[in-house]
Amino acid sequence: MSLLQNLTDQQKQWSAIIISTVLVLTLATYKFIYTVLPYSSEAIAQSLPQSIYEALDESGIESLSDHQMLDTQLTAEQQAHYSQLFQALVPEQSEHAELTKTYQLLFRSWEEKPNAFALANGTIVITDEMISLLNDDKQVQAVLLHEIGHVHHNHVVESMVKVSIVSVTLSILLGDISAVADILVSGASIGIGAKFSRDAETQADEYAAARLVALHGDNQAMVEVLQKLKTVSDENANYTSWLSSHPALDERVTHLNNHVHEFSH
Amino acid sequence: MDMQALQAEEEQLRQEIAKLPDEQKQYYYQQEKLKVKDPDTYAVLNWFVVVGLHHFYLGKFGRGAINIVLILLGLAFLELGGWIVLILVFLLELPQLFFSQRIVYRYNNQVMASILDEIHNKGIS
Repeated sequence: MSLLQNLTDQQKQWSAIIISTVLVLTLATYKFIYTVLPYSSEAIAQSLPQSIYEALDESGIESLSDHQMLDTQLTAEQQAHYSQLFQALVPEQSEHAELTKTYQLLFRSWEEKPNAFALANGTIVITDEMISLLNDDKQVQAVLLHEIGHVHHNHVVESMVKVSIVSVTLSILLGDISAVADILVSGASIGIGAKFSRDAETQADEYAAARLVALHGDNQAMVEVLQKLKTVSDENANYTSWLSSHPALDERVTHLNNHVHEFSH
Repeated sequence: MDMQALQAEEEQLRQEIAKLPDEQKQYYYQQEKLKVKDPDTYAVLNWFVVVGLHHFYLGKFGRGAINIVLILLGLAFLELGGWIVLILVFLLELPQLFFSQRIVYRYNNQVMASILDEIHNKGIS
């Protein structure tokens, strides 16, 4: 109280202004990231026309060769086997019923990098190196289901919309004033994008685990895949590209083990 | 009170100030420099995050605190209808942005009058 009494009227006024600003901006930022952004990005992503999803997949497939991806070395029989496995896993309906996903599995070879990723409209790419890394069909199913999980929850487009919303919002708030604003916009976009990317990975893990439990009675294959990827990523830092925007593998295994009972419902 | 009336009021106050002895005049201007407010700062604080910071600037702590509490509650319960509170506060406060010149002019005239009262009542020399 004595400190407050010692302040001049002007100091009291500016103290109130600064404290209020900090309180409001902190809560507003928190609500923007955890409430407004997920809700609005989901709504916007759902409202985009189907042609945009198709165009994203087409351009994604075209750019595969730009990322030093080569034609697969798998035999026609192997490709047919995994494609059959994949088709059996494709869900009848997306989480968002109004979106019609066209699922397809593509095989590529990529500089000995075990990798798999999903595009917006249901195209899933798996590298020969990933298939070589896995022991059996259950583990391949786990990887495919993880990627199907991304498509099912529409993560690719939602992530693009989220980053766009953050960039536009910060540009509006900060204006085109300086290099500092550019750095803030880029930093926040990357940071928030990475946060949502990690959340998406966890959600895709959960989706895969639940589907594996439904298929085989347990999610052990998903845990085994993550442990295998951890071994590979520990052996060679170059292999971490698939994992860079993902939560730590140990955390993902722990999460799956801790929540296994929830996936059986 | 419109701008013309406020300008006339200020002119009257300035004439009173001009009649003060030099020492009182010096005291007056010292106090005025400390207490008068800038309409542009008021407008910026009104616009900035639109939560009523401009009330604090004019020393209206009660009104400012009510706004801040409403905004914090609105944000905390955003998904439960809190956004309605935010819009209401916004609609209530934003018009003051367009009247900031007049509001601060009136405030400054009040400040000038109160300093003159202080000089007359306390006999500051």
